[in-house]
Amino acid sequence: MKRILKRTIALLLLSILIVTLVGCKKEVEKTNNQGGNGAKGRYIEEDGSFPMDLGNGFNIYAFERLEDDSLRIISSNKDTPIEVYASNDGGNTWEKVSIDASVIPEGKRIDNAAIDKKGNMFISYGAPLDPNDLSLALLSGKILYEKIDVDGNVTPLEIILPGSEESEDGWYNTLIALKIANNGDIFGIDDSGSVYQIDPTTGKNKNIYSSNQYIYDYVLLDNKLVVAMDDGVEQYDITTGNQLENLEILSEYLLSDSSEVSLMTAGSKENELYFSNQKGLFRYILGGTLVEQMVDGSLNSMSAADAYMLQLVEKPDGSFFILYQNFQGEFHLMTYSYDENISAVPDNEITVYSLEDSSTVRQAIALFHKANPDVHVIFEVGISGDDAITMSDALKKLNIEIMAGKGPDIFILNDIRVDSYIDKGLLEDMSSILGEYEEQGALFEKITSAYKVDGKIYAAPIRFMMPMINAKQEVLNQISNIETLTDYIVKLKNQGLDKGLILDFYKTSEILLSKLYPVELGNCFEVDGSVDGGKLTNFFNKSKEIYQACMQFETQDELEKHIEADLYRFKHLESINDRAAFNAYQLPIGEVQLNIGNISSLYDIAHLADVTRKDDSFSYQRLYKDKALFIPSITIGMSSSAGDKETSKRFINYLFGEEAQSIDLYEGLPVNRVAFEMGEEEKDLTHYQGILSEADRIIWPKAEELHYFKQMVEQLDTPTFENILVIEALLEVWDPCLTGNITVDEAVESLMKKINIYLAEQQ
Amino acid sequence: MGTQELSKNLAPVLSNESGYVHWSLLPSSPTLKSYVELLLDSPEFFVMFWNSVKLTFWILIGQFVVGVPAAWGFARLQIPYKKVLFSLYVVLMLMPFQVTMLSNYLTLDQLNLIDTHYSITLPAIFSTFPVFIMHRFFCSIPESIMEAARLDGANKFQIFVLLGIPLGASGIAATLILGFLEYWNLIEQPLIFIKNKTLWPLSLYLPNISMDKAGLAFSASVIALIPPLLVFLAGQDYLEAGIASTGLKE
Amino acid sequence: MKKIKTMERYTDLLFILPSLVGVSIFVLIPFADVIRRSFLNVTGKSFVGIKNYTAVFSNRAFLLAGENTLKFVGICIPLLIILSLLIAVLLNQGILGGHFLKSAFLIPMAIPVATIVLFWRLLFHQQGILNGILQRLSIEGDNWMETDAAFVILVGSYLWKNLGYNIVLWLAGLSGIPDVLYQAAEMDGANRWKRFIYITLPILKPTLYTITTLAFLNSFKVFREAYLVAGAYPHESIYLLQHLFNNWFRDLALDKMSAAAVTMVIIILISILFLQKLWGAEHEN
Repeated sequence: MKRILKRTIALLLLSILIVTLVGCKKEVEKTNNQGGNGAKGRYIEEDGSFPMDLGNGFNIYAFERLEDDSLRIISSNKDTPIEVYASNDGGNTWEKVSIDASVIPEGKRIDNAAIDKKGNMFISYGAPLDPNDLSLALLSGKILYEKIDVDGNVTPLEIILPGSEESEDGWYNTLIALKIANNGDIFGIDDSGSVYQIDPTTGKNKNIYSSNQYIYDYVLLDNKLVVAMDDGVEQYDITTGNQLENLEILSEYLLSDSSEVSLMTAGSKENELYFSNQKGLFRYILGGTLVEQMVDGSLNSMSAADAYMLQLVEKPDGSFFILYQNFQGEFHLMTYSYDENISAVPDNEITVYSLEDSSTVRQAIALFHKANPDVHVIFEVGISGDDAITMSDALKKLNIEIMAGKGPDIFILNDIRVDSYIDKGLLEDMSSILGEYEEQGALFEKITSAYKVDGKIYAAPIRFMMPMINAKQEVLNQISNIETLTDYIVKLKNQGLDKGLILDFYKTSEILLSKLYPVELGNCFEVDGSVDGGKLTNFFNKSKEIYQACMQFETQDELEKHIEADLYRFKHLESINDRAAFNAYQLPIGEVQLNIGNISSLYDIAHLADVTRKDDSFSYQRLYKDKALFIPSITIGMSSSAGDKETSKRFINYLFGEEAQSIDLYEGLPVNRVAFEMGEEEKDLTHYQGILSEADRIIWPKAEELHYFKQMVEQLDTPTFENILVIEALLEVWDPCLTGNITVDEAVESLMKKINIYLAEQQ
Repeated sequence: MGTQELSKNLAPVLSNESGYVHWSLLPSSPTLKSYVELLLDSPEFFVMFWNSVKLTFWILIGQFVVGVPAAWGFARLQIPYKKVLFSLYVVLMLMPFQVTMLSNYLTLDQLNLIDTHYSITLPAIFSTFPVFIMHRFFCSIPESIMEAARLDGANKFQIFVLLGIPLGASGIAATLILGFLEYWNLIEQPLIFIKNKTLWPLSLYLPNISMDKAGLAFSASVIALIPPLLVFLAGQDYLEAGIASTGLKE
Repeated sequence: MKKIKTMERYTDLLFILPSLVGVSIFVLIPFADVIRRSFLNVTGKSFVGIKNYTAVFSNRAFLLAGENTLKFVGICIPLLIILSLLIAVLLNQGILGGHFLKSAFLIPMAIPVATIVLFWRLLFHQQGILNGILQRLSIEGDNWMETDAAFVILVGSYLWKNLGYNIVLWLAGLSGIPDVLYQAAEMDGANRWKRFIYITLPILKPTLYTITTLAFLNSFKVFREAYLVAGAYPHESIYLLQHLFNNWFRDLALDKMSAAAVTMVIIILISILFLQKLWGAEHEN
């Protein structure tokens, strides 16, 4: 009897579980207005840059379409605190709208702005942090607000928020992302992430819509407020302040796609809204069951890693404007208009496969699409990180697809065994593609031909990093290998430091590994591929000495600060090379005695040059000066069974070209000499660096500084040892060994056993 | 157990902190937050759970339809080369998946089944394991019963349907429960054969357990544990009776 | 008369036909393809004779993995059979008892791999629960999965998971032995031990075939846990054939993998035939 009871209960629970889970599931309809093969018509991206000169160092604060279908923007530049432009022809020509510059009082700077459907404006402004430099974006003190109506009448409005009047740390609460509702109410988000509804006449808060989540964007549709947040989209009635029913279809659509909303804008129809993100541009009608994809983001700038969306505007003719800002703070305006004559999906399709995601590759694909609307480059990433797929699983899957003739056209070969792929004839010789550049002397040839076999190039780096050391010149003179490095660090430790650290890590031994492995690991292997146990033991012994010397002196509060920085690096920078990121500025302020890390961007060079320019007792050199090592941070290869060889070659050719090589996202330096030299053009790094005062301002390296660096790059000819399996096995014993849980001999023994099994498999 | 508490307790293993994992049997701050988060805020979890249910359901149905007659055939009927065939079944049953993974893929690809649920269900339905297990049950039915039926004029199909299935019911149920436990946990096959993540079963959901997701991973593994446990409890008696009859010899 | 017999055989064939067709398509053909590949080069384009086989037999990784696998199977299966028989006998004689105990032995079967793996990690990690307990007892811990203990842990996990199933199988066998036999033996003055050796064991012999085959099958499944916990290169004592297959696959060494797989299947086949001879009498009816 008891058993029957137990069984019944279990069955009952099971059915309840299934019913609830199934009941919770909702079908979300997804459509894509781009048809299948042969169908015509899709949105095409075009450069829509503003035809007028917006001035030196301009910034754009608001971009709206008014009810008469004219367009309007509010901008500023170094010389003028506020400018307004209007266009009556959908953005082809713009006229300056006269506005009294004194609407922004002398010495103040505009912070945020909004325009309503009639052309009335609402702006906020404050005092710049550095009163002598109006171009710096940071403001200090209280922020003020004012309305400017169409006739130019200015009415100040006092808005009081929690923390907007007084501040101990110089940070005042303000409203950002200002918008004006059709009834004239003013909306904005404060620092705590609540949306405020402000009465335009009194400045009082009518309603506050709070959430504990990060708000991506919000939009006002007649009497409705729609807020897109971290975990969904909510709507409110702004006449009552009450929350309306959740927009579940939209929320689930976004969540199931794990995409965010970058921007939202109201459509011209009732309850219609558009939103955009990296995946594209979408249309949704409140309460509808359908989320319609208008533009596929993977075919244009939307998916670019280096494009932050600022404004989305629907043009009167049904096309769209998106205003982007890039890494360097530059604005780009793009238009998306429907072209009914172009095929709905690009005619040529190629696939690029990479085990790990790469923003450089994404960016290059986005730029390539812009110039080649007939091609769709699909970027397939093997390990996305949000599921249980391991590297080994991803590789197995890739191998199966290759063997079944369904492999990708182009490989990013990092962590893939190049020699094995070459042996099996999977890679195509790229020397004809590279030859073109080589004739012009455009490439750092020693690097791009590092994997040359019998005159054939089956794999070539498109980006590389460089292990670098930066310290006082007299220190650099003493260091040339791990012995001298260890000796110097131990000597420093015995002398004792007044402040800071020897190297820039506190406790996380893996950071030390990421700094040392590029120069040391290759050393531990014989030419025939076998491990040299003696050298490996030496590597562990010396590293342990360095680690323990670096651990010795620490004050309590510094210790905590460093642990936090360590943990951040450990958790957020998954790739071992990213963990060795270079930070030149720690040296002059005495945070570290030695800077060791990988140079991965022209900005790293700018910082190094800056440090040595300001204090010439500092210098920098290759970590081991007699070894010309580079880290091939992105290596590319073409499949010998690529379906569309012509297009694949076109794309690879593009990757080595100036445009793609000029992308600089800290994933390595360009292998294209021209792209490297283009860095000689002066750039203003202020905006990008967020530097606070004139004295600390960084300038772009001078031509001779860049030249000095280039000389070093020209010598690089040996790729570092990059076998991920060995590195993974090394990581397993590294921390236990350095922290003393196991002895060096145990660590080396265990590691050698694994490497030897691995090597035995290859026999 | 809240994410905070869980992360703190598991920290030594999941990150590089010192100390040891503590395991308090009862969480000191019980919270259902992770469960709520998982069930309400992760739509992919539903999709995958539903996929698991669908896959397992069709596999079990298929195994019943195909496997039961085959097992009956091997146990009670006269089939040419029966012994050789059956030994072949046993050997095929013992072959690890990795070995035939590529060839399986190629076959499925020929049949245009890659990236569909059929690429999981069809090979599973024709697994030889249920035939091997059920064969034992049918062998244990005394010949005398069948002889009696035959004398009463029943044909083979009647004997199979009216005698074989009812007499082997507990064995069949046991096999299906074993099948459920096996297919609820499928990992390699869907990983290799299905590219479209919306078709993935729950067994692939469990994310790599990292510090910030410890709570979620833990609840996901608990929820994944519930259905097999409930199926097990509901079917334990069949299972025991079923397994038992394999051992019974006439 | 003979004709009727043949007819009958054909209708009998109908019962297994669907299964046979499916098995051929989804299991047999792929396996035949593996055999074919074992004589070809990696790309499957040229015939290389037995080169792959000679390469495999001189491959140290294969020899190590083969040895470990044999060792694992050789230790696990007898251990599992003896241990489960022992517990079954104790349960049968009422020395151990209860429905609850049986459930406790059976439940591990139902626990998903992912959950097992999570607990494994927590238990045996350098800073895991086990070392925590040992530290309290002032015993120095170790990173268990990286020592020879890994093999013991693997064997333990296998026993834990499969014990219940086997106990039930034995119990069934035991309950099928008529009491009369024991009573007769007791009259003849046989003690408990003798009765076990001369009566119980011979009668249980056919059960042994099923148990061994299933134990064999399940011993291959342990790889999943080992792989998920310790990765592609675990401690060398638990580096099994499947690790090797897996790694060869990852490195696209399909030629060697196929040859090694065929070798393994031949060994399995011989073992199965041997078992059938030894304990089988499988198809007497």
